[in-house]
Amino acid sequence: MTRRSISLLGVLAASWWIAAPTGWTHRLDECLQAMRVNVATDRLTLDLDLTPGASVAGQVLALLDLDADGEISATESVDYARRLLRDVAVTLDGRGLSLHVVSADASPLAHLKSGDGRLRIRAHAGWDALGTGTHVLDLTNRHLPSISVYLVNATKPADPALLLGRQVRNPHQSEYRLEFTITRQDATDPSPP
Amino acid sequence: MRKPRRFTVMAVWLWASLLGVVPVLRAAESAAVRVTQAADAFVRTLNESQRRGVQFEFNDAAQRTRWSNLPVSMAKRAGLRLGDLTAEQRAAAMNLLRAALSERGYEKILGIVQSDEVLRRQGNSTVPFGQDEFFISFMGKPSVSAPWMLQFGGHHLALNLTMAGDQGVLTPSLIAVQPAMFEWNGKTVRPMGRETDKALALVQSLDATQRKAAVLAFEMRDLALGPGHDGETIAPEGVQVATFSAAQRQLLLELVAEWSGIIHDAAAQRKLKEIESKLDQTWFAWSGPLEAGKAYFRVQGPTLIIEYAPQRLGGDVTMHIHSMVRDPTNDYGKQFLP
Repeated sequence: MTRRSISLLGVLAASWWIAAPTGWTHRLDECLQAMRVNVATDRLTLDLDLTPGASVAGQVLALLDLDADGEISATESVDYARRLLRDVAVTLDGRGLSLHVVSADASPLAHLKSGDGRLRIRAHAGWDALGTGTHVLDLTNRHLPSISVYLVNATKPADPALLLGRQVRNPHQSEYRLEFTITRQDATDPSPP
Repeated sequence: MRKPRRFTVMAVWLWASLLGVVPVLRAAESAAVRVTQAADAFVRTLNESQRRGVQFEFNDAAQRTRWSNLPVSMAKRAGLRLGDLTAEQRAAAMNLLRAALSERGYEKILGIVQSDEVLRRQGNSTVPFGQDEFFISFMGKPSVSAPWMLQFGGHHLALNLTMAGDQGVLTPSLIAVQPAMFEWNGKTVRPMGRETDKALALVQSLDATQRKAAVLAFEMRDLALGPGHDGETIAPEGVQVATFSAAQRQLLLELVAEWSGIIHDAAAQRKLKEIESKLDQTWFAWSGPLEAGKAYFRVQGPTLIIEYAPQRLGGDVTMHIHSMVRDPTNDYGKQFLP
């Protein structure tokens, strides 16, 4: 092969690479579950955005659109959220917590099918007022593990007496630990200690 | 002869002092006037219906958050669509952007619009892409003193510029691109090339201890604070910039400036000084391989959160980038409000 033909091939390859059809601008073969964890003195709030990729949307929609009428009703969204939360285990200082759906809102079916829609879920778990000191929240998400990627992040608490500590995740973020500290006995009291 | 000479010296001294002491204010004042004049010039090209269409109340909460990374067919935008404007109107709209942004900022935004046009020309989707599918809108009336917002965006772009006299912020804004590199009029364009390369230079500059702290032991597959997450602040992670050398701090500031420097120079300089003053409370985190454009990274300080997330949605991950810039203390310019 001559140097000229090699150069030409290189130019052609580069041109193809630069102009290569992408077409895929939206999530495909994975379901993104992005969770935000907010702790307060008396409760945990989980906000979860579930975005199924176009290639796996069918699996999720089969679980979501139970009557298969091509629409996601409010009831179906909440029912799915409840089933999803059964796959999410949460403990606080080693004690199991029960998650309750506060809201569940789904994008239109067409958007879900194309990989751009999402189901947004908010859930609470309550606990008795916590004492001062460090507490540990552990969370495991086992919902649709074969097709899911997970994100978990703690959001800054509204109460300045609650200080976030370490966040520890496994590589896929399906397991998560948050250490946090309460610095005042009555953490809702805004006056300084 | 003494009095006129003393007067001349004093006048020269005063003039020199003003020039030396208030260069930023002079630049900012000109920016406020320049942007407002460009906005007024744009409005003058519009008919009555278009003037109503571009203008929203400053307190319109729905319009304030009507932005997304998604194509316009998936997430509806409001305002005036570039494709519905005449050539004169479109030129005036782009002149307004040029006035509101720095030179580099305008170049970056133009590149993102061009990248969407490249996507359209590839013709592989029924989704409407392209340079016609970008929208411009005002929240509040353009003014040299009262707060108002310029919004410009579409697929992969959401600029939310809030201006109040000599002040201006561009948070929250979404800066994204696909394809991340393309040919345009015979030149290779990388709208987010500088930030991609600067981030790699920064992480490569870290010593072993810093890198161990900076590189997260888990995958960050997407933005944590993308669209729909206004008002949220996540806990900072990674390596503290307090451990950085002077050279590393400079690298970080140059990286940050790729976002903070999109707005006009006067506002950008002010913002960068603010960020620099808080570097000891700033963190840098990296998730993924130590290669350009293949890893997520985040810069987070008290008044800044930047996220950069390559999108693993099929195809070359380096060719599809999403990023967000936020200021938890002043998103949508809330500090400018009375």
